[in-house]
Amino acid sequence: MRAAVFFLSIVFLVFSGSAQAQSIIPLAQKGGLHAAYVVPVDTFDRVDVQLIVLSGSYDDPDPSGTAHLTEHLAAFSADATILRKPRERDIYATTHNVATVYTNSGLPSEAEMLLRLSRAVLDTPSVSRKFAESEVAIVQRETLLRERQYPFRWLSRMALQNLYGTLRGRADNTVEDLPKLSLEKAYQFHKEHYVPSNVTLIVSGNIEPARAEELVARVFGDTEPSDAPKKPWLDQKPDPEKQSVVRLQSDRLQRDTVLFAKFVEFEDRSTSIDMQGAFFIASGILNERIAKVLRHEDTRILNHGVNWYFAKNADVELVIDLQLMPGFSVDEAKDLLTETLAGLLDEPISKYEIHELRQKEVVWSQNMARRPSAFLWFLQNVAADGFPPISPSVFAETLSNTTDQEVIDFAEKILQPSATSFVLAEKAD
Amino acid sequence: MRVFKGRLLAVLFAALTLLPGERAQAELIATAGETKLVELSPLENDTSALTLVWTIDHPTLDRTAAMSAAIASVVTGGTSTRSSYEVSSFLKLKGVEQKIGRSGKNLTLTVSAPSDVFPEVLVHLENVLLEPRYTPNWYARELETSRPVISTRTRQPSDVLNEVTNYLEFDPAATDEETLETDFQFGRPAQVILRSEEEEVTRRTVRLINSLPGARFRLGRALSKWAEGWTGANGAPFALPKGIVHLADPDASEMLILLANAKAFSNAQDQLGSNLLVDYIGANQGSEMFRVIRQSMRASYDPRSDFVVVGKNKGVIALSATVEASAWPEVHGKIMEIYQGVRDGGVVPESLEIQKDRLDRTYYHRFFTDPDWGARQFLDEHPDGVEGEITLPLFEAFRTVSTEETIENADTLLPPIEEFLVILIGGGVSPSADMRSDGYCALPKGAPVSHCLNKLSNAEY
Repeated sequence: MRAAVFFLSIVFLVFSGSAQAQSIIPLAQKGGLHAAYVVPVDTFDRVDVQLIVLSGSYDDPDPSGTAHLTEHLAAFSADATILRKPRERDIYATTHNVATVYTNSGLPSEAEMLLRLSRAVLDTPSVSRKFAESEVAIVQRETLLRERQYPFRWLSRMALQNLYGTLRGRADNTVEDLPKLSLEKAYQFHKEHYVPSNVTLIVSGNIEPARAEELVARVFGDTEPSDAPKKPWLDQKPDPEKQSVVRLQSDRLQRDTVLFAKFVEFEDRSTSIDMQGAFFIASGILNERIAKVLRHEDTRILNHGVNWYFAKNADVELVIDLQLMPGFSVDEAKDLLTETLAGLLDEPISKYEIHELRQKEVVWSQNMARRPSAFLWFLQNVAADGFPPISPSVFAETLSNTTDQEVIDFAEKILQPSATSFVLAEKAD
Repeated sequence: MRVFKGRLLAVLFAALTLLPGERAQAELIATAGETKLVELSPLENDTSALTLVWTIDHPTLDRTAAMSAAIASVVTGGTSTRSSYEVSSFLKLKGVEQKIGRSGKNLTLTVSAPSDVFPEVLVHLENVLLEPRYTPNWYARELETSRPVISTRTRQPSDVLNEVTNYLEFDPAATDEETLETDFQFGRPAQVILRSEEEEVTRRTVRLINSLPGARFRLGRALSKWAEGWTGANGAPFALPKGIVHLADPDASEMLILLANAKAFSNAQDQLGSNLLVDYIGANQGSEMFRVIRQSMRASYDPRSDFVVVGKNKGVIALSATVEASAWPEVHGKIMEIYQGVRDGGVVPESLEIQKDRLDRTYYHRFFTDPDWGARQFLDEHPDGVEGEITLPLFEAFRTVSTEETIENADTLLPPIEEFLVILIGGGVSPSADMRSDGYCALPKGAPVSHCLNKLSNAEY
């Protein structure tokens, strides 16, 4: 589960308003799939099928990037198998930290074809050897391109490598591993991870539940359950005393940047499934308080972003990205952020603050339901951990069922001393 | 596709509201004439939207950035009764989206929110416009955000294209070196574009406009200076120089290749036909560049074409790919070959029809869900507003342009490949002497692309 807040100075994307309820209906005739759901909504005249393989870059073997290469092979293979005419739609597949998501969208009348495209992802990729080998080069090109375009990628990777003291699992070594990418590792990854028991299917949009049930049974009913792959990265914890600080200069940066990462372990919990509400409200309140200091009371930070990752075993990874105004040094920014986090709960969290945050989150979620792509992201967010998806209306219910004390306890735990990592990056000419 | 309500209200506002005394020294941005109110079709996603349009005489890049920063400061920096944090909270609680945009000389602020709270949002908007209380440091931060990205650092085709279109739209010789004002107030806009079905929203919009000061209070210090010092690019040809812009980065393993051409069209049909051909060349995974450069040559992850509408019947055509440094001459040659093939009429009609359907759906979807984009379409066509029936010929062209005729006329809808500017950023060999024959400019690291565009335009090579 991931929550992210980015504050931009010109564009403010926050949505609100009343919206219809979106039921999450489990489908029984799902073959061996881990889970399958239909989320009927008639807001958009389309159907979307999300096939979520519950393995992502955290599950990479050596080398890093294997899950990504597998995604490319599976997507092109599925596309070539099912579609045999000029391309009318683009392939949408993304490798996230803990999951790889394949999205097929179309008209309601195309629902079965969309499901068959999704089903084909689970078949062993059937592209020519020559094509597959050259796809390795494409993945290398893509990785280098993203590295250049989004410095956050390599800055956060460096922060996480230093936090966890490893190049695998929760951290990765993507760029250095590029020459080691191999088709054999990718096919092996597909064999181990693209198994029905490691896959969640979500059908959403303008479709009757009974029809979705029938089609999913027809297309996925023959899949057999199997052992889901192990997740060794879930046991990966940093040294609690870790306090890493590194410095660098780079001509790839637009401006001076500070990257901060922090790991928090809820030692007494083994699953985050019943902590979702507390996570969303507490992280929202902390985001608001951070913004109050760094954006509203201070003008030396140009932009800041706060990224939260709440793992299925209740580990929390917090990454904060500060883009600095000219003249404000990375050391001053580090001190400001450290001081801000240390004092973030000096004023106790009030009932009113929790109430208001609930309202903001509900308004935000209702507006996610107004836009197809945002709605899909919302559904996949929690489902990527193997939990049932949360729709905006279910989200509102979850928040209302969360007690104030749960929120306060969660926020206090986040700010207790734990492993941290700073990267102080200065722009070079 | 019918997208317009076809209703135009020209609203004359006789009543003016005096500025509060303590704001008397603020630079007032407002029209001296009437405000034109136009109502376009309501949005489809239960939201309402209002776009306020202020016109800048003789826009320069610096001034546009300053005005954008000023609008951002006004709508986020707080009021006499609400802190910036309280304003932010209000926007989140009501689900308000604010976007600042531009179409030519027109700067826009588009505010959208769920329809059920929109009247309340208009009251808030009135308050922030009348009583802004942002600090100079707040403005400085917004100004820093408004500054164009130096695309040679990010090496994103979209950033490079942004620099190229800025070069076309703003007088390259016009710079604003003097210290700019930091205290602005935005008064009566030149135009208002409304996307709502509610009478209450229309009524409150009129009240909002009535409450804003007109330009007779304009002090005109900084803006007047800008205007006086500006020689103007009106009438300048809409064209990019030919030749090569080259940033050589020996440490880079990649090379970004971008070819660009600015083309004016005689009508919307030609513009749309050209757009369709450009999409066919490289806009998506069904395109020729994807098929050849990505899937056959395996040379690039991101080969693509772009058609950037810069104004009425004006567009920038761009072809780009990021490739392994050593392979760039070969890929550059292949891009030209693909382009020439399409220009010669080598187009599969069925695939072009798919591109037309995709673009049509995109225009339709964005018009009914993205009010900022919709406002820009209107302003591109009617920068000074319109009275009477509202038409957007580009939208109508989807019903009249045939793919067969588009293919037949490809050689006139697409400019010759020899007329393209070539931008190279990254590693690999230097361009050959033959390639340099139309002009060559070595771009210093960290310099904006315009540095070389000026030199090539003035034949300083």
